[in-house]
Amino acid sequence: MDVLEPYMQEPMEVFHFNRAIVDTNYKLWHDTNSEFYHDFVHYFNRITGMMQPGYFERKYTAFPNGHASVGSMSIQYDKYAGSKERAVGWPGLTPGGWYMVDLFPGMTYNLRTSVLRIDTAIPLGPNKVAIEFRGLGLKSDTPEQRAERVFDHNTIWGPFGRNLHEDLLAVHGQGRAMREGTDSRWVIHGREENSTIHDEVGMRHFYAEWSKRMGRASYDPLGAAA
Amino acid sequence: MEQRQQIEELVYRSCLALDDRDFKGFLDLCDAGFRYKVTAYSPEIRKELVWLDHDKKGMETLFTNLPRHNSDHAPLTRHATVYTVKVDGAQAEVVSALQVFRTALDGGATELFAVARLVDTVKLDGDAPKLAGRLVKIGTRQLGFGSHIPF
Repeated sequence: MDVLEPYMQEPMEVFHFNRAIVDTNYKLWHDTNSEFYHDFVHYFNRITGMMQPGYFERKYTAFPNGHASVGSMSIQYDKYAGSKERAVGWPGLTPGGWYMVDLFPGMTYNLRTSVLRIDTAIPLGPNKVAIEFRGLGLKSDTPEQRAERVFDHNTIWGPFGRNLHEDLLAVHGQGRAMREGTDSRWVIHGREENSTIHDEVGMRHFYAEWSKRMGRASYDPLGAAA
Repeated sequence: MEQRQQIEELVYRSCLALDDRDFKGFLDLCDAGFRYKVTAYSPEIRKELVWLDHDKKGMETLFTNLPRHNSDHAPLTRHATVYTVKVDGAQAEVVSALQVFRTALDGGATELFAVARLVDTVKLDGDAPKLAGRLVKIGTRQLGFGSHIPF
């Protein structure tokens, strides 16, 4: 959390909460928060991030115990029709900045320009997860500043947001595809690109920790190869 | 047609247009100053939440951007019942109950997706009643993977 410490000096306030129950494994949600090649799913991220300078230089940093962070870039929010440059920012954060911290095994702190989103994944079964979403602003917000943060949040997040629906739909589909009786139940985390944004080091790091704690290899969890 | 009947029909036609993804048809029912808002109360944080808040232009953009996004295409069916119509001069406040059903494309099973209350402001000073505002006070806070198309 040291990465976020400079940005968490002011008192904050939760202004958004919702819970989604999805038929998928909790690790697939953490995967969504840990890799960025799924940005191809998000038109919003493609147009405001992927096509802008600095995107492919964003770096993953792995920390002990399975945690990881993703470096920042400057998102061009006005590139999306109906969106605009963020009217409010976050103390200490570069305009358009975006940091993410993934805590093993299922929490994510996502500080995206004007809003801090915190995800908490609660496994309910092998193929069912409850995810709690919280959106935070600053306790010192004026009503106008808070309204801007809520607007920014709802554009991409929340039950009607452009990105969250796409993410949840994706992991729902993964859950269906990997259900028992299907042909293939594997996820390949094979991209190695110097720990830059489409490298899958984040989840390789996660599964190394998972294997250590579970006492079994993630690539052979049932010991079938033994 | 009686004024009350015209107002009720406006609410029902707005639901039909959204069910049919006739977004232009929906917006044609709305006044130029239309405002659309979805709210929910969260006991978890003891706060009134705003989940969407758009003017007419914002709604139009939301709709026109839809083909660029990856959305669930399961049809939504809105079932509204107009409870009360309170006319005050050139406008009316209309309160309706709303149930939204979702029918899965794979298999065709229908499930209740959400319940809400619609609080519509209807302008009555034109040729036909127009929606000047729609507040969707949503009761259902657990919406699975959510929706790109509002209620």
